[in-house]
Amino acid sequence: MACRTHPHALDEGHCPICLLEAALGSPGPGSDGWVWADEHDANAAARRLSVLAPLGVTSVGAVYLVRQHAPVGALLRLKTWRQAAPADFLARFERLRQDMARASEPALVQPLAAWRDAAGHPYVLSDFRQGVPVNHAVRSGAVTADAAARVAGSLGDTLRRLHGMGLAHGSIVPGNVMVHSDAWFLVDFGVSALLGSAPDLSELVARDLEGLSAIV
Amino acid sequence: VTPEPAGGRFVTTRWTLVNAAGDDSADARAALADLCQVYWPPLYSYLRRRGHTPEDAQDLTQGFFARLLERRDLRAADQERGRFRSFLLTALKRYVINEAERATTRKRGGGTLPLSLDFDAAERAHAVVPNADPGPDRLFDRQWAMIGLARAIDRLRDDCRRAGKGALADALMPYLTDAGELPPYAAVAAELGLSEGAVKVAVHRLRQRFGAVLKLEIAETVLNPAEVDDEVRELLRAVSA
Repeated sequence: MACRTHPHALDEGHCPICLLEAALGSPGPGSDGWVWADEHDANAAARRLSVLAPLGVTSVGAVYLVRQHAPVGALLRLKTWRQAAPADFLARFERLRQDMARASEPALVQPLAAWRDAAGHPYVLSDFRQGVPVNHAVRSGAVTADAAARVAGSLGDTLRRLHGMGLAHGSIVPGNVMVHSDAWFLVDFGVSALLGSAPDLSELVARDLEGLSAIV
Repeated sequence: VTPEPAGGRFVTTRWTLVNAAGDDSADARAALADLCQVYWPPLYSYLRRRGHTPEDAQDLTQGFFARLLERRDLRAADQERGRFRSFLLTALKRYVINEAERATTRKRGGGTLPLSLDFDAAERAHAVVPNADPGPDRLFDRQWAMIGLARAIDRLRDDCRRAGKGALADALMPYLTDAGELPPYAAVAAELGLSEGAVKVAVHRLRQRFGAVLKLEIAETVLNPAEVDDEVRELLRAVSA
């Protein structure tokens, strides 16, 4: 059965060129046809998110890879805590979001939204970027010691620039310094200051420098 | 012919899970093994086209997957994880180079591989070389495309059967592409007891549905749904060459 349009494509069966061209011209799966997980979190459901996979668990919370229903398919990072958020949690988050937008720093993963559930537990939704913690990358050999040193140097430059703008991460640990290919980025920037008693900037800067020293 | 997606349930994006869940996750390892089970034959063809004997290609394929599935270093060392197709071929090339450097003659991966690899079938598929001598990379991509297309056709057939439209789909499936040697719509309409217009509409829907199913199939191997159309275009280039 030869294809009339692409007689060279295949001797039998369907013409692969026609099939692929037809697929390109098709609208693809509708919003209901894509790949939604069961929604097993009331807040995620309310915000039209689907939990795809756990990214990490800590003693006080967890991080998930989630997919946003609209726009279709956006992969996002959802961080949760099993502790009550302070009363001004949302106000703190809004300040952080505005500060980070103002910083316009490519190494920072942008926070997008925050909310509390019925129990008062906080949630922070941010962009998702593919990467692995720098210590894992070094241990596996994916990143050489020289490359890791360059990351540490670049991280120090970035932190100095941000500190100069009155911004601090507050929790520089290897798990928050991610690498992917030849790039690196920080997750959870400023997030530690969203919970608990609000530390002042000098304390957060001191924590950053301490964390940077430990990484170096 | 417009069956609903299978149960409306989560169809795993396995490559996303492999990337997101981390190498220590049992779910990620299982998802990676599932993907490898489907898409290993193009790697074998690639090795054969590179000039390896069937025996060497079998050893290298088995050794590569044993290393890939059991040890994290090979996976972690490859940062090109945007698409499973690119990742797998890049990782294989690196593995082959390393194996050549070791110049080892030991048997690789004996007996512990969690995959079922039918090398006889792979060798038969490799023997059917399309067009004029594509290079190893192009042959790899072409075979990859053919696997995706075959799986999409099977999935479309299954979806139709589950929707109680198996007979209609069987009758119209040959019209998925324009072969030019098929009976006219009027003939198949008479056979099915439908109007010619109804058959035309059903064929149109079947083709639309195929596109959606193929994109879902390809979505399993990319990290972001936005990459699906680009991947279709790359596969189209591979089969058009």
